[in-house]
Amino acid sequence: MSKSYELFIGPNHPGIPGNFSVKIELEGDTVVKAKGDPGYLHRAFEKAMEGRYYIQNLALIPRICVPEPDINEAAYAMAVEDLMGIEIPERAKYIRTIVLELARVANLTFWMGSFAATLGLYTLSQWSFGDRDYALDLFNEICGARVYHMFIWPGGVRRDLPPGWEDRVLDYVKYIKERLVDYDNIFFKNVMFKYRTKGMAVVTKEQAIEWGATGPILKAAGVAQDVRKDDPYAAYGYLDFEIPTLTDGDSWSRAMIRRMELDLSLDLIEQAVKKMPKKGPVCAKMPNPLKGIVPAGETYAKVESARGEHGFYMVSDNTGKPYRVAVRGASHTHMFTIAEKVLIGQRLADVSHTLVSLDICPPEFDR
Amino acid sequence: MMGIVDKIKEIDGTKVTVQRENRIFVDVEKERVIGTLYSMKLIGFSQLSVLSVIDRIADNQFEIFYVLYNRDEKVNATVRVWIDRDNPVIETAEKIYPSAHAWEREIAEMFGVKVEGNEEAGKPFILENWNDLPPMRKDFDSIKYSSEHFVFRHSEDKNE
Amino acid sequence: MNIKDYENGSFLKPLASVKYLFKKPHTLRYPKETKPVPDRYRGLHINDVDKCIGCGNCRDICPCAAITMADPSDIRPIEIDKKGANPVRPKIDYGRCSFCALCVEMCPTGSLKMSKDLIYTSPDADAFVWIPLEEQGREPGFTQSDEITPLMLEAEEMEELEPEVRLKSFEEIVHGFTEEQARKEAMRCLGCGICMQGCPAHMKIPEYIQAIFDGKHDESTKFMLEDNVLPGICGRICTHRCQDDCVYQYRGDPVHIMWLKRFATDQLETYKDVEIAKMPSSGKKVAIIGGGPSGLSAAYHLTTMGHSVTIFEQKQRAGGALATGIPMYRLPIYELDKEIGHIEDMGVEIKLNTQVGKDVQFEDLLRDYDAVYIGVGLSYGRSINLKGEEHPNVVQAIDFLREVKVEGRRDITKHVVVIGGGNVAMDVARTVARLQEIKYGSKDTTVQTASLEDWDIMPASQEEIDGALEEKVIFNPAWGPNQVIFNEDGSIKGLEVKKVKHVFDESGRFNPAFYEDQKKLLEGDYIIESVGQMYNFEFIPKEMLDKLEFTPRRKVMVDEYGETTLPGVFAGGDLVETSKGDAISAIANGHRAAIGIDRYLRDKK
Repeated sequence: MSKSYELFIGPNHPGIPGNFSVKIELEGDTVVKAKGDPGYLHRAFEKAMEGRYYIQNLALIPRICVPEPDINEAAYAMAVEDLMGIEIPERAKYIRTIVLELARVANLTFWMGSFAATLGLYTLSQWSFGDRDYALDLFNEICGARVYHMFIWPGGVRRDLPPGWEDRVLDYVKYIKERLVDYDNIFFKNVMFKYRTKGMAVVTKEQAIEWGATGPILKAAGVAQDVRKDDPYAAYGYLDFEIPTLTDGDSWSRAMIRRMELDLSLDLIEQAVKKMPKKGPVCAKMPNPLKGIVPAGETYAKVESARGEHGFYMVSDNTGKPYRVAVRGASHTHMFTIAEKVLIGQRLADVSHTLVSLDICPPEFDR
Repeated sequence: MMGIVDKIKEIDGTKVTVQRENRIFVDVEKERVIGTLYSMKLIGFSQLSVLSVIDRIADNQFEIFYVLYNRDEKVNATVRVWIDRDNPVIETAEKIYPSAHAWEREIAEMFGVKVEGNEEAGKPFILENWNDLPPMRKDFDSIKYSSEHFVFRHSEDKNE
Repeated sequence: MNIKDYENGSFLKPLASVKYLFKKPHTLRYPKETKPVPDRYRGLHINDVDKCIGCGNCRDICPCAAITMADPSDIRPIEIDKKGANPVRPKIDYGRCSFCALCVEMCPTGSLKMSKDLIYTSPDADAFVWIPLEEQGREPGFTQSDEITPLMLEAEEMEELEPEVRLKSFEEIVHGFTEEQARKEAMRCLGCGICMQGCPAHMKIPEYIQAIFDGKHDESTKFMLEDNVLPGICGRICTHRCQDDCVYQYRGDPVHIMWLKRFATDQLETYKDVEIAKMPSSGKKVAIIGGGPSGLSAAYHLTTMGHSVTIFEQKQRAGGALATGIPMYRLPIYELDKEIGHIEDMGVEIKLNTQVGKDVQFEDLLRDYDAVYIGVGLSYGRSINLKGEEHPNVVQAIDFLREVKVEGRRDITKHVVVIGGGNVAMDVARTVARLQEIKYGSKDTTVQTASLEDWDIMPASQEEIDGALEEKVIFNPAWGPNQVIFNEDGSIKGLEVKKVKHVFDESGRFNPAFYEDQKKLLEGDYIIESVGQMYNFEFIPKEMLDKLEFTPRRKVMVDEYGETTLPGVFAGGDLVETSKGDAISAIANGHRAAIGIDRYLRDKK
């Protein structure tokens, strides 16, 4: 007689961000086997992109990651620019940087809310979702949409910043910094948070490297790898920053890395606004999108998302439509290689927050 | 000190193209791909970023590419291998890069590439009860498929 | 931040959140309180259907196929016959729309906008498909920008000879595009095809521009030849109504369709290798009187339809006004040879120096041929009954231009007055300027024009007027000719002109009136009249001419296929109402008459 039983976490489970399921096998309330089951969210983006003009994909790419769509737009635009040999204007680089960092702030506040909620602290999610909304309002001002911005496009950005927006973004940075004191008090310095996460779901440095982890998982294990620093894109090459690292590789370290990343992002926004050229073009001259041919070639463009390395592998064949676009989301590896291993031995109550601690974003593999 | 490009060139049977400073393309024969990946890992390419397929239908070939990352040199290298489209078989890379496992499941399902050595490749992953051509192949017509399998709703002409 | 502060968790710190009990909540009390909607908000669409031209670029760029072009007349009638517009307007399926606003970015007229409104509810899924209108009362949100737009608003610059250089010879002024320029210019085309309506010949403009963009110049020429037998000539001298309709006119420079056409044909030395479908021989014979553009067009298309065609041309060259009228600096003679040579290669027989009515009789043609096409054009200058015009130094423009172009005339006097303000007058004035430069080095010479029309209504095209001004032609707009003033020795002193009150009367008819007290003398010893041309039907026997009916505007009455009231006799070119006095409309109605003749011949037996 088998002692184990199977349980589906998801696809509609409050502890899972997105429509995605993890099949876990339990003995008692201990996980003995975990298996990701994607497919609930698959929209064949890669196939759809092959049938559309380069610019038309602008409507698709943000949808690959809902909480942080701008990384897709940026990586896609960078790939197209690389294939076409286009250099974007300086001001556009800074605007991209600000937008990307603001998106990271929005994503991290969103993440904080989900993480706290999976640990049972719903107050923080009320707060942080609200504070994320203020970032979305800022996006709404520059591009007219809150979630799917479609703002960064090949050649630069779609519009210059509206008057006074820089000041408002600085006000927002100041506001979040003040709020973070309370966030710390209620959550990051909360003893319950420490007890629930310290030593949980450890990914050691060796494991992180072997399994191909990126982003906070790798940083929490002690490797300072970050695309912003290693292969600077947008205006990151002009900014001064250090990549935060911790050593333990446990759930607590990953959460604290994200907390430190939040500080870094706020700092980067301030730096970029200060250094940004006050005037100038924000978009390079681009060919007619209905006829614009991208010369044949292959390229890999990558950016650092809040979850790790996010990349677009793009192949063009001298026509107006991409021949092949392969999307690399950090969660692909984090789910199927890391989470499936790390979950084993956990208790059922910890499964949800472990998944959030690894920040599994289903659209990145179900794309 | 030897440059990373020279190190890759020393691996048997590789053809190296340097697109720019930190984007390198390495073309290899099908027989050498696992050996090359192993050697690449030894010289520091410890991270597999993407593993996927390009359907080169005009040449009747599949191009399988492995985007690797060397974090010491901060260099991305893409190992590319062309295989026969009619008999697409490739050896698994999961023993070298554990993250290849899931990518290989994906290419097995989406392109119909047979991955030898990966037990789960070929089992349903994202798709469910799929009984047509592998959908990411260029000769799979998604519009035709939808019109055959789904009923389109035609809205009547109405205006505000 | 210092990570050490976080290492030890605290029981008490979370209690800090208690203070929020006493703070004002952030939540808006909807619907009493609302958030301001930003100016760039991408909500439901607004479309100014009167401004919209139905070009369909919004539909073409839509990534979601949410837009179809529909007839709006049920809900909001629009001006159906608007020039350069299709009578359809975008209809948007909001079940598909992704609110990316690419349609707004691509809208050439700027009629399409997004609004600040995104709220629409209905239990009926079909209710989410509608034609956006301005009347729906939504507040505008996201609009397009001229600085950042996916449209390529600026046209490629065309290289031209400098005025000082071009005056020295009759060399062609416009250099023509280079390969790179042509590709760039062709890339600008959106392929919407609005231009095809403007072209009298309805040429397949989007197709041939696409072929130029693809570098397939012979394929491009093939598309052109389907509707226009003289593409290289039209690429130089066309009135390019297509460009006037180009959708880029609203926000930028129209695509240089004419110069693209010239570029593509210039890449081919002959059209021999262009694949042209030719029908098997029908055994029917057609006579064409006049080898001008309409006659050539009719002859070519009849030949491709399998009929055997003979052109009777009075002059020593075929081409009509193209050969004898248009100066070399606009249309080099080799271009004419190339295109007429191609027509001859196709099997058209051209009998030069053969005047119908003298060398062959019109009745004989009617008897010997299955059909006759009259395309004699307006080849005689129209006199204005000017007092003193019988003097040998008062000449007709059409004769002067022919002498210069065909007979190689190079002599000219130092002071010349040109009467007229049309394109022919510009040709004359600019030709005179060249002759004066060649003969006198432009020392102490003048060429001036006098036209009834003022600047704003001058019939000549702006390019021609600018070209003439650059070449130091003096304009006297709104001065009408009164009489020629003579010196005592009988030579011409000049032209007396009087100020024009108005050219058209209140009902819009041509009826010039003058201020009889305002007169001035334009000094000059040579006067060229360029006020229009007329036809001459002396070759048609009297009893037949009586049967030939004319329209109220003294044009030959033809049906929609170019057939006159004489059975088996067709007419086209400048003789008929559809002509706008340019080569392309003559080519177009020649083509249409060819279709008519073909029908006539097939119905005959």
